[in-house]
Amino acid sequence: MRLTELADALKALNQLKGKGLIEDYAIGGGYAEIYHNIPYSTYDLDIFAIISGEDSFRVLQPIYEYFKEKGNKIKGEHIYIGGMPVQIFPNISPLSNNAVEEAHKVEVEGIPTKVVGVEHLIALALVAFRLVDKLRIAKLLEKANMDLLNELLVRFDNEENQLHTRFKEVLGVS
Amino acid sequence: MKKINYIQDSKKFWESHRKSREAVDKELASRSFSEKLVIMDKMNANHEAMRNAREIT
Repeated sequence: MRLTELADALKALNQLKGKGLIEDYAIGGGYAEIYHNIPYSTYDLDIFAIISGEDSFRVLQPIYEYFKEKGNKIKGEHIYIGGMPVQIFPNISPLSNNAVEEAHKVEVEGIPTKVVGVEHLIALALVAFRLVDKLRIAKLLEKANMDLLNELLVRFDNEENQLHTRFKEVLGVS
Repeated sequence: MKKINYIQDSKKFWESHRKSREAVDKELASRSFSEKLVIMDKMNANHEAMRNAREIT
């Protein structure tokens, strides 16, 4: 049976990990929401990655070069694997790297991978906090373990208590 | 221990990724109807695969 473009992309990402170009990765964004049974329509794949290197702006360069050599199309920040546009987000924050470390281990069509958990998706959406993120949080909350979410908000909140303040705003609590 | 500098709130990083996403959306929107149907089929298959993903321990 022919694998989906998604499975082909995950195989390619596992090869990156095998070659040491990334330490670890997890599926985020719309595909993570679909895994958690939240309706979402997206073609491109968002990947959170932990990559060693002092300059996080340049850590993707060897990855782009690797895919270029393999004949993959690179357009802007997207790498086309199969025909699927893939965007890799390296070392965004301690929270996003923790989301990768604690992501759910899953198999997609027999390909091992990781998917960011609901509580981390909510915390990441609280950081971005655009209108689309607030709507996303409302849908994700139904699936969240509130104890785990609160623990994350305590662990990754900043001095301004931004995550807690924003979370209260979403809940409509002042 | 390996050092990691986090991107955090770099406007430059997010702006470049936002532009890239807009370009992808624009490119997909410019495809012919028949090409869009093919992409739609692939996208649905991807979503189905994701819904059927199994947790492993």
